[in-house]
Amino acid sequence: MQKDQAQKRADRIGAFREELADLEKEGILVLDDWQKEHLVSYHRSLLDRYAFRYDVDIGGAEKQLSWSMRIAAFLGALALSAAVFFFFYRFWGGLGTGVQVAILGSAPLCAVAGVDCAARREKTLYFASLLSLIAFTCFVLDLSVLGTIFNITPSQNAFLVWGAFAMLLAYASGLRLMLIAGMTCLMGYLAATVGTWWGCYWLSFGERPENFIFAGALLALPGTVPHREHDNFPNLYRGYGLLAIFIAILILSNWGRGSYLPWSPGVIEAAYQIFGFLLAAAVIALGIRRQWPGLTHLGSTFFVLYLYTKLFDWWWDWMPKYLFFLLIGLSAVLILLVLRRLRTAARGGMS
Amino acid sequence: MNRRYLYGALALVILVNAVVLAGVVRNRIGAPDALLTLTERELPLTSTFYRRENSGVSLWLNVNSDIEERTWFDEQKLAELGFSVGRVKDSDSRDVYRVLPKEALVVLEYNGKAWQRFRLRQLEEIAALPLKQRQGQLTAEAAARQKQEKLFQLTVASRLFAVDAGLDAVDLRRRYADKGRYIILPSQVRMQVDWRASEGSNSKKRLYGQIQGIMVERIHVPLQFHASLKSLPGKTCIHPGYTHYNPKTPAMVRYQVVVAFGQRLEPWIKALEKFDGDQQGAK
Repeated sequence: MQKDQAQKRADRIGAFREELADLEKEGILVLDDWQKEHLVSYHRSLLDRYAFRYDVDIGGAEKQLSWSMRIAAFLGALALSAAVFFFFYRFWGGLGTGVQVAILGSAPLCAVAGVDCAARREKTLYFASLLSLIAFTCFVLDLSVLGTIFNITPSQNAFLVWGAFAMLLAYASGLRLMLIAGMTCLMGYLAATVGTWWGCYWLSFGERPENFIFAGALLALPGTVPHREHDNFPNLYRGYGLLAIFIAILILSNWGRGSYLPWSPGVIEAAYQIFGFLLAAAVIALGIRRQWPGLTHLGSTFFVLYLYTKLFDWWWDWMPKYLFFLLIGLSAVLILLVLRRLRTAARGGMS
Repeated sequence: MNRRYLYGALALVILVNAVVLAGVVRNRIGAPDALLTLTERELPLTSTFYRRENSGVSLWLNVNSDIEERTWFDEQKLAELGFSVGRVKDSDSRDVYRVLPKEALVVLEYNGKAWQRFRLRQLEEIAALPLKQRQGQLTAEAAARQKQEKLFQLTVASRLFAVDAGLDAVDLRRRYADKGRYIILPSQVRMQVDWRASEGSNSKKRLYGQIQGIMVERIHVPLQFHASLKSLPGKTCIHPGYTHYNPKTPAMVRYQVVVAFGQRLEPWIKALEKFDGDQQGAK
């Protein structure tokens, strides 16, 4: 069992206790003293075990403090990473090449050892996550400065190894922040590699949003595989990959000249507009069917965004502004009605 | 905490560093692909030299981008590098911006024919200034300023010119065999439209190539050469790119650098020395 699973169970116990109290108050279900005592002692021992092993949050106040600690750890990690970066740049000129290479190579190794050490001492992994981000920064600094020292021709492969490193740290301790860092690097690598297949120089990968459609699709794939140890990772894979695809489509539906397709920009934009609506609808349907709420929200957001972008294109210039916003408001009401009907249908299906 | 992944991360760091350093050794082993002695004109200090937040020192590979010396990069050369010249010529002019840059090997010539042509043009233009002044095309003040500017360029402009491009390093080296004059470097090249050629005529537009950037434009200066750079006299008047004449900063070339370009066409500094007082400005 991982910390997330233990936390979910602890949350379920809390919700069960509240519901049981209400049921007792309403006289629907009243447990006798033995049952009650047995249940309370079982839950208490379970929660004590989780608190000891995983340092889970039992009450609401603890949860709020945990969030504060997470935010503090994230901001601290960012600041410390920046400190490492600027510290090195401030003094590296005064070091010989051998010393520079030794420091650059050993810094990420020391930071990874620090992650291990922190994880052994602290179950909440706040310090481990802080050190993970520092380790990642050290590794990025390592390769980029080695490239500067030895005047190495830049290559997209750096993104691949940075991505792999961040992924290894993410899977070691279940850190979502490192998974996002890893996916971002891999996105850069995949998009650049796809660009080179079309004969362009790798650093121009940002000039063709279609590179990100391919990269996003590849990154979303692991989201279809259940993760035994880190059950929240598939959500992130799916969300991140599809977010990249949706943004790329949004850009192409307004900037056809940025496409590989050999058609006129107008045709390309129209094609991507249609594709965007179809994909958003498909993602909403998939989210509902597979009970992936994240996908449903993402699909709905982009469906509305595509719709409003299109309405803006059509009407903004020639329509009075009050009428434009009135139509936007009415379209929102229409969407609400459609969603309500779908919700009612879903409820009917369940009952 | 799953320690197998942490060990994997440690192994990855060690492996990647080893691969990078092996690549550096491979680049520097054996006879270099090119070995040149350049001056501050071709390798001025980058602006980071004067910043406190970055103590690293690097030199900028300064290629002279005089427009008259770009004629070799024509439509035929673009086609050789893999650009679809015919398709772009037949289509909407704006389609040229849809063509992505490509990687190519660019040949840089140091102190060769391109520089001699550039120098000759400057001298001819200086010689033509009195006539322009007599004809009333220039005031005496403007003619004097232009003369100063051109003389300044003859003293400080980079003598490094791009003279060719290709995709095969071996073939380029065979054609430009002088390793003390020609450097081959990976670069990013792009297709452009010459709008002047297509304006007001029904003929098809003319396309030309442009070097968008050299992959390794900054050359790192190791610590052992910092002392020479820090004790240079005066403030530099040479900047990466075009340096305009400024009467307050006299033309002065203060150092020379021996640069090697290895098997992977990556450069490194082998020696750096200051010019003594008599040599300054003469280089």
